[in-house]
Amino acid sequence: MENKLNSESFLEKINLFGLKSLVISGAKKDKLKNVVRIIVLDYSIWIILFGIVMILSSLTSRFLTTVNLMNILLHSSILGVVVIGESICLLSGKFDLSVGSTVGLSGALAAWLMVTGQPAASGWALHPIPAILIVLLVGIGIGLFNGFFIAKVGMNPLLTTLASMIFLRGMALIVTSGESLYNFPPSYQFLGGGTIGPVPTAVVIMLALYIIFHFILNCKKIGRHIYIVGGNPEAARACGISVEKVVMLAFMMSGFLAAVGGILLSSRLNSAQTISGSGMELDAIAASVIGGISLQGGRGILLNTIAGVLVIESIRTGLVLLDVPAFWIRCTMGFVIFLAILMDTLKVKLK
Amino acid sequence: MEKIPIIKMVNISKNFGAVKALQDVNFEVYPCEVVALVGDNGAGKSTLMKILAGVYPPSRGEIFIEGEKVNFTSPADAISRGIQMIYQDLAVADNIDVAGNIFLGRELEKKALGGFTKIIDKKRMEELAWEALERVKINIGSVREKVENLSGGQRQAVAIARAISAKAKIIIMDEPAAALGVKETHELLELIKDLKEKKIAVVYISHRLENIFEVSDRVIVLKGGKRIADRQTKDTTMEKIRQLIVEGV
Repeated sequence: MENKLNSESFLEKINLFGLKSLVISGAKKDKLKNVVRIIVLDYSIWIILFGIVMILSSLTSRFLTTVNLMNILLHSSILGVVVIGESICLLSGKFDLSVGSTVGLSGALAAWLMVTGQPAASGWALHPIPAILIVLLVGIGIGLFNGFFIAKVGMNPLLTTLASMIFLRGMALIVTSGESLYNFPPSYQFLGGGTIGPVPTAVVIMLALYIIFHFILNCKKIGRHIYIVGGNPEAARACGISVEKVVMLAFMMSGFLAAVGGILLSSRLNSAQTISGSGMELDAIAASVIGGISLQGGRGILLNTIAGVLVIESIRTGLVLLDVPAFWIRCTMGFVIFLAILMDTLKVKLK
Repeated sequence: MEKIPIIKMVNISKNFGAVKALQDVNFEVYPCEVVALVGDNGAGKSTLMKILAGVYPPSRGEIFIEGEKVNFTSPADAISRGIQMIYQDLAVADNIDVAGNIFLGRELEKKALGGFTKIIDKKRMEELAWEALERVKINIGSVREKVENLSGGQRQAVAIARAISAKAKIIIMDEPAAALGVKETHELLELIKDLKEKKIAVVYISHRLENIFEVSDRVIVLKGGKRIADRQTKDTTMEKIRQLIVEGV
């Protein structure tokens, strides 16, 4: 009896945390069977990640080392933050191709505001805190712009954010006069390059953001509305949800998180390069889809996209360690993305 | 009739560009009444009801609810006045569970993290969802089931349970039986009769005259955007209504 109660309240706690599908319907005796079924169906990406890590570890002894794993985590942290925003856009049934350029522009803008002694910088030598606030606001503004034209005006999300992507890359070039800016204040460098105890600060920031946005998506009204709008925008509209507002908020979150990603990347490299973050939008979509976020909208569990990010970064790092030529790594990544989208499509078909 | 209509639409016109979808249509529903709205494709049935549900504003005309003039600018306005529309195929969000669908767009909240923020009150929603489902006498295994795993009839029941739990005074159903089998259609019609006993008025849009004659009190016929007939169901026949729909006389 005691035991049963414990497991019940344990399931309730999981439910509270948003992993709702772990607690399943139906008769109690089927619960265990159901838990297994749900783990296999909903959380299978973690099993796949484990398999990939095992395979890569057996292929090269350099993979399963603390240094390498930390390196993968550090790389994952920046992509991970961007993936949160991309996943939110996908959940709302849209796309954001502009996140990579937002990453680039954010780093460039941060550098322009803070860096001293370089002619391409503003020379204002701004303190990191106001500089970061400005960069985050610009990120939110980019999301607001994208969201407004997609939700209110009804422009195609793919092409609108493609235009933003090109425009913002140009802005990054303008801000830095096409040069690389480097040497940030030490407190800024701490964000992407420092550690808290043994853990890189960037990883802590990524995990904190994952928890916050998982909470928003699963426990807050706006999060629920993002899922509803992504699942059936007409039903959402008919029951009084402002679809426009929800989509705009999703893009603003995406812009904000891409700006955080840009700050972390420039901080880790201690420089802002005009090409920073290029191609990241596709990695972000790939990691989201590998993590089970459906391209059809409204389906997927945000926390699983951590596994999606780790899969991508593990394969990439593993192939480098295996001395696979760079061109082949590209082909492999393309194939992995293809597989993820194929799986997503088949999952929808099966239903 | 001396009774005050729960809904009164007066001289409603709606133009989509050059197309006159509705021309000076009057429409009224009295308390506890099941009104069938019939007409050929393009007659303006759905347009009229979407205006009532706040989806479109009318080009001209006025809407009164229990004698009071209203101006809907969004579905939320109509919902807040007790008007619920159930669309033929887009009534529910497949990716959301039953409880979530019953509270779609009006999720209950509770304080969390020591009053710092509000979160969705899933437990309370599930309890109230059970009550709402019991009222429509529909058997669904679990309110945590995703709606995509339900049958067509169950999905309609979820939509109706939502309308009831949102304190609907009037429920508009647009071809609710379109995706239903024979048995499920029968269950739906029973449900509509039941709504009447719960003092909820129903507008039933359908092509299926046999269903209409089974549940409705009154039939209103639209043709080419105009209202051409208003008959008490018991005083007319399917053949007469069919003739009105097709020939207009």
